[in-house]
Amino acid sequence: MIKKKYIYVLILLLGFTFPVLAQDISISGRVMDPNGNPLAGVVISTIDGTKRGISDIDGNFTVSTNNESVIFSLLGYKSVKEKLKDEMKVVLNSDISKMDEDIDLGYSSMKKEDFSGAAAIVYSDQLSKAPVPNLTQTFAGNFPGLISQETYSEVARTNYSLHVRGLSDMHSNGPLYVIDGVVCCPGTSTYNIPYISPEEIKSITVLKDAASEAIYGTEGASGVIVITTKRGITGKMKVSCSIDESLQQVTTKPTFINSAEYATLRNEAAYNDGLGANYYFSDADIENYKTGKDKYLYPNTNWRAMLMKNIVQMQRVGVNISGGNDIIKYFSNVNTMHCDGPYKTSSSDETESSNNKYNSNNEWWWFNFRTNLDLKIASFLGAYLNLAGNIKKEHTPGGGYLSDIYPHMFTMPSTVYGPVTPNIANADYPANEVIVTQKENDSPYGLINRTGYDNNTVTNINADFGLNVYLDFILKGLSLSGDVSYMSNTVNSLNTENNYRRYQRDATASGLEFVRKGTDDDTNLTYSRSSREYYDLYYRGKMNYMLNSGDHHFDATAYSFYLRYEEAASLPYTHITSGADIAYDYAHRYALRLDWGYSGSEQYARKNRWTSTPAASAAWIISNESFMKNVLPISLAKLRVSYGWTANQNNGLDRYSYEDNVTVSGGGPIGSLQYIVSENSIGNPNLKAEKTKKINFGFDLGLFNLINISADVFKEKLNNAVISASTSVPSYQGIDLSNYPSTNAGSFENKGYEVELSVGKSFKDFEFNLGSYVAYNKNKIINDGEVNRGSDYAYPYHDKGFSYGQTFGYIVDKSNGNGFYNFQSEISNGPTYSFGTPRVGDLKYKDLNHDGVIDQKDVAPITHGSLPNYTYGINGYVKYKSFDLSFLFQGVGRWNSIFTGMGVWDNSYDGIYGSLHRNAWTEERWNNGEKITSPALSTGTSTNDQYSDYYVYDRSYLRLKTLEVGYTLPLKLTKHWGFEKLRFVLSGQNLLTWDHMKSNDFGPEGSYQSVPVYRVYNIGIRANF
Amino acid sequence: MINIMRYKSLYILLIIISCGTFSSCSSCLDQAPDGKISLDDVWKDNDKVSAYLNTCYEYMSGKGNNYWFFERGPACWCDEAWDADDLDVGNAASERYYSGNASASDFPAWSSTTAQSANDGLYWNNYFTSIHDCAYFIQHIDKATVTNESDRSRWRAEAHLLRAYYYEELLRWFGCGLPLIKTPYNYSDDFSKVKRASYYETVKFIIADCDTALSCNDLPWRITTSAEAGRLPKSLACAIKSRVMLFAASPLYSDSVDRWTEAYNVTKATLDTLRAQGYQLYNTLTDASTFFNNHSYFGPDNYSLAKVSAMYNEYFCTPADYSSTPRDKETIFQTRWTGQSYNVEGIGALNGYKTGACPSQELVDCFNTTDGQSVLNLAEPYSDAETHLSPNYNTNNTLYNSQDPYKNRDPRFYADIYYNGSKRYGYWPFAETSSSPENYPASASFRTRYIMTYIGEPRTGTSATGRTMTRTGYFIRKFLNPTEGKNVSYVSLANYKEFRLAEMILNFAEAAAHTGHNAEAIQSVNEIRERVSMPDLPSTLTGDDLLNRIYNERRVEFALEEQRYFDVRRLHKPDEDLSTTDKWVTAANITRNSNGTYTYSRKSVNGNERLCWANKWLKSPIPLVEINRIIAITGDNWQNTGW
Repeated sequence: MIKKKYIYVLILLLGFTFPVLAQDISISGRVMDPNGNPLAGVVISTIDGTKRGISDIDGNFTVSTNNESVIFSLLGYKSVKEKLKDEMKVVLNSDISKMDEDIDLGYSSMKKEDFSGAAAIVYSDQLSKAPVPNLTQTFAGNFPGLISQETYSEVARTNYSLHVRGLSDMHSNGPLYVIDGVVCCPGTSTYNIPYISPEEIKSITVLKDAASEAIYGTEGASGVIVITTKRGITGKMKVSCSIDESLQQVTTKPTFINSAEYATLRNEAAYNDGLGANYYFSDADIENYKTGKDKYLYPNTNWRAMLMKNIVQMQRVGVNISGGNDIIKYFSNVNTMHCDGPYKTSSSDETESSNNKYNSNNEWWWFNFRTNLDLKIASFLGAYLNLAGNIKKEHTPGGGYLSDIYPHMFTMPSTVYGPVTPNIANADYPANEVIVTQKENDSPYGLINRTGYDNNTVTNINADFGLNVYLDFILKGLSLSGDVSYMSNTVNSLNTENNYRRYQRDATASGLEFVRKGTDDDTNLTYSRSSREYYDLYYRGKMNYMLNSGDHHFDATAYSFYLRYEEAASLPYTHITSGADIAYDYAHRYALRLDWGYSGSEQYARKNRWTSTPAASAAWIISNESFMKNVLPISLAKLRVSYGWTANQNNGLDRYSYEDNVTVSGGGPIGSLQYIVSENSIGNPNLKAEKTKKINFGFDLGLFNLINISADVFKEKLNNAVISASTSVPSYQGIDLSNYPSTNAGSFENKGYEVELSVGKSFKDFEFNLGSYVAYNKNKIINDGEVNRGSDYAYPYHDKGFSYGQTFGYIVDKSNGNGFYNFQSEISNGPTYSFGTPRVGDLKYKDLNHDGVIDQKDVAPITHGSLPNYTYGINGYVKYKSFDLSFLFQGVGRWNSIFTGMGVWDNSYDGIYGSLHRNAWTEERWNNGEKITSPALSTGTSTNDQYSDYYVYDRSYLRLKTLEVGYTLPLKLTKHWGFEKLRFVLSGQNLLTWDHMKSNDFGPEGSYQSVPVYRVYNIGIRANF
Repeated sequence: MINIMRYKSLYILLIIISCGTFSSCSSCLDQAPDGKISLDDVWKDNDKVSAYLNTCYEYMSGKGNNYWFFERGPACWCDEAWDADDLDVGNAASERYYSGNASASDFPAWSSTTAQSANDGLYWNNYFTSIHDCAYFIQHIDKATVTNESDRSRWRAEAHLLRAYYYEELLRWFGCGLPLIKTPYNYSDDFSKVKRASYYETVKFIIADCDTALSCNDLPWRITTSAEAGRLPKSLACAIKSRVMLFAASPLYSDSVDRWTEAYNVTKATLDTLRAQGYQLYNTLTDASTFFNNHSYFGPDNYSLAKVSAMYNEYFCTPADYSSTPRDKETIFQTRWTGQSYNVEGIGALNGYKTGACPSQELVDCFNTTDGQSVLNLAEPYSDAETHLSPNYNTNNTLYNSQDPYKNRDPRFYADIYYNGSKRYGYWPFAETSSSPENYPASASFRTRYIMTYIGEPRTGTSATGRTMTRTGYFIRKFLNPTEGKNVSYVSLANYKEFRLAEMILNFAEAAAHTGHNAEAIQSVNEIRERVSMPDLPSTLTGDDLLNRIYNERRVEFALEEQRYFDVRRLHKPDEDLSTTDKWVTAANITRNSNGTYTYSRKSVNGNERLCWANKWLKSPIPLVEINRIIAITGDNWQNTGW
């Protein structure tokens, strides 16, 4: 009854009358696999593609239609078309090659069988195994060819950089996102993508080649990620919900150097600098630190452990509701997430005499929702409304996010008493004041507890309304659609601020005395509000024509969209793109697809504004040839080839760079002339969008319907990259080269491959699935306008011929065995350094150009570029009766970077030492033949503090990314309780990492200055009603 | 089923809506007005045209002590001073000169890290940018919208003169021929065929621009209103001609061609023209209350000579006035920067910040005694040619006493330099200690203090490390207004006088001496000397003796201005180096004896040779990136020898 009312209200709202429905017949039956296991979730649809029903956990279904036959389909199984009859028994055979899978290309979709491009597709259930709050955290290891790097970690906040097949240009732009056919403008993806929950998603498709990207015109070059959300299916209401409780902890902790050890290392550094053996600490001091008897005078402060919790809790609850009838179908999802803060704050400490009356510890609370409605208004008219959004509330210390505070956990040595002055009777200083040092003015304790707090409320709303018009009465198979989409993002912040007094240890006093440092004072909490707003508006029209005539299948789509977005303090951005594609296949044996994108960009002058991106692709499904029908063991054989162009308008230049940027303003050197003309940049009206040519070859091979192998090789070439014109132009012509018009003269290439292997089979009570892939990408700058540095440089070019993001540094000369100057005579006989004089124990750099001087002319490539060359993933699924287990291993290979700064270089602040510094070069260790893991320590900048291959860390790793163990309660029991299914899960994320880092102080994503990746342990309940 | 025809209108509407979005609109991609204009718009409006002329002025340099971190750059980079900031390793340009830390990719005089203050630095890019702007202005001015034709004429002349100024500056720093930009290049031009001109052709190009300016009746000879401060006067065209022609005739740049006759003619014409326009040496003290009072302490107690010193000090510490009948008729052009003052140079102890350039013993040796005799034998001043520790005293000099060396010297010495035993009144922000017995006891207060520079004096003594101490035993006085100091209300500072008549006179003297016009040469030098009450040169001087006196007069007259750095270079042949002048720079080694007397000797400033004396240091390198581009484009290597 309630449901009916709901429908009537909706219909009234829409203002349409609707006709009496034609009389359908209702049929029920059961779907099973060949082993007799019931199949749940089988979609029953009519020939025209309308979904009419879905099977339940027992495989039972009911479908009402006036069609003669219907199609039964389920992911991983071959679809079958069956005539309707009473008491139907339908058997579906598994299909490891998933050729009946729908590939969603954003504006159109097609069967994988006929698809001739390159795409990676993953379904909701695979992503929802990861117990993480951000959608982007689930990507790594799941999409062959998508490089996913966690660039920022914090509980409940992570940033990812995503690159499809590496880089196709020199801008490191991320991919385009298309959610349910709506293009997300650049910049908005961070507002909404991470906050979509896997449960509301049907599938995510990563489009990788020209044939699938070309239709997106100047938006498509960096790859496209198509997110398709779930929609309702005719049938009774289905409800599922999940409840999760997670415990999160950091994966790595920098080695704690206790105060006795710190004192020893500090003395060692001073000794190396010629300051004597006990410059900072006497032997008695060190002994006192060791015994730890006087914790006031000789403390051993582990700032990180003192201020950060080991475990941070997170709770998530999600509910999905879906169902519908012939007129309205609905899908609705709501999720909430709550997460605690990572700090031990003072308000949780009862000894704190409360200077502050607020708790500044982080707290996050999210709510995200989606409702997708489909309406059938008339036989020729359908409408849909997608409403989604998220509301985030976050509470953070005034000191900033964890990433701002975390580095300060290491800047004060363990010999510093802290975090606040002790309460000692008759002391000359007040108790409970924040302790800092001479070099560190921002105690982590102060940043967390005494700087106020911020409350941010972020609301993000997406509303998308569209109409579908079926024009079969004009031409059979013709339809039109149009939609309007709006997205807004608003941040409202309450920022509170206060300051606090700093005290530091009185170095001149023998006892524990503190003196005030600086003029910072305790201030009242002050309040301010701020807000930020952003919106975009998107219109799209689309026309589709589909024709099936015998063995000829024809599907054509054309679309056009207009996108406008506005944010504070800049002119609105406008994008217009049109596109068309025509897919044709003959008897599912020969498939041909033509794509075309046509974009106008405000970034270019009128005559160069429009960019055309054509592409063509073809596939030959050999296994569908009659001569292959009974060739065992080949269950699938298919060849794919695609060729075409993609384009990029985001060329890294200022907006409207085709125009001169000349301004006239008041002032100037001569007062009487009043004004001055500033020539900021010279426009180049000849600039065009960058066009990348992409070629892809692929094949798919299925064996015994048990094993599937897919492989793709690709090559991308950009011949009109936008680069600075400075090579061909000398400075003396007088226009500052940085103002110089860029030209389309650069070139860049990218190539690689992806190989996928999957194996799977199901038996009675037992089923397994194993998937794996390796992806390789390597880019090369062919010409970016770099100037030849001259023949006296060991490497006259630092870009040309190298990958984007190539780092250069000195090469450590290990010809003497260890790469350090072990004797003074080695220094005297060696080259001079242009940046200081080396000491014994310092790094010995190679004089690559043999001019006797180590300077910029001697630097050499020391990394492989900014992105890993290899990425791989292995996922598995095993199910035995009520138990199931899934795992995902994920890794990257051939990836290295230079790590510098605090914790790597030893001398920032008062010396920040990690585990490698414990065995730094000393004459004693060298003489004893001990393993040396660091150049000689120093109290100040030394010649070791240069970019060199010594500080290059191999960041390749293999990680047990996700593990999930599930137990489903017996159906008999759960049915009794009213559940269709009740499943308990134990899961984990980032559980184990195997890497080649030089120490365990930080992992492949970390450093002393960034928060390590979090590990998650989770327990959850999944229930279906 | 619904009746299709009944809903026909709905259909049509839907189709129109759907199709409407297909018709892409081109105009919505047009840029909304964002306030930018194009260069073409500039020429359509009188005010924008004048604004563009303002742009042409942009990169004129500040000079003086406007170099990076308030240095008096070139003075410290040659043999007339030592920078007390020499411990700022790797940052201070002077330190980089001394340690030879220079390359074509990063040269201290134009390094991107140690330059950019008041446009001193990045000369290659900055000056060529302004040259482009001038050429662009000249190209468009004739057809531009200018409401007043005399403005158009004056602006055109100014742009020519500015271009000449920038080229002259480039010649000074880089010392090589340059590409001549008569009309501006366009970015699409083919640069592969561009050849640079020779040094002499560049000079001729500069002179042609100056002549264009000189032929303009709308360009005033002087700037007469302070609103127009900084604008170029016609007199500068003469001055630039004199300077570039002197350089073109000098050994380093002459290509062994004798250009002295041409130099004589040009410098003479310059001088005649300037005198006809009323230019004359500054010779009258106007503000005696500031520069000549009980606290001015100019050397020994000879009233008339002290007054001359005061007049000379006043000239450098007072901005030139803008008037048709100016008080200062000597200054041809002063930069628009005043620079910093007592807090960054002079006596560091005055406010405890830094001393900056410390005049060298070599400079002090150049000041004659009051009888007109040189202290050293000018032909061979030191018997140890490089280290300068064994002076060859002028045997004809009877007034000089090496143990009382600051007595009876040229009045300019007292105006230019604080030496051991000189005095200064001001707020001394510290209490004296017994290790400065000349001043002890005294508290932080306004008082007269003896500037004692012996080794061990705690505040103003000679030290190898203190930034507020002196490296050489001397402090700069020349640009230091006597009333300036801590706890003194604002004192208006002087702009740096980049071109003045004295230079034109000595340029002419040098060219005259080279062409046998000895009497004219001597007369010219005497004019400079008479202004400061120094005796005339002997009328019998000829040849090298005469030239040495002229060179010495330049060192004295232009002490710590930007002349010596460039003079010492132009006077060398292309294959020579600076080992006899710049390799070792000397300090006064003064010790205080227990009886209160002082012993004077000489020492190398810090015991290390300066590493900026090799042949390649005669010229600055052209930036490496530019050279690499030029080689890549043309195949020619324009780089100066050794870089």
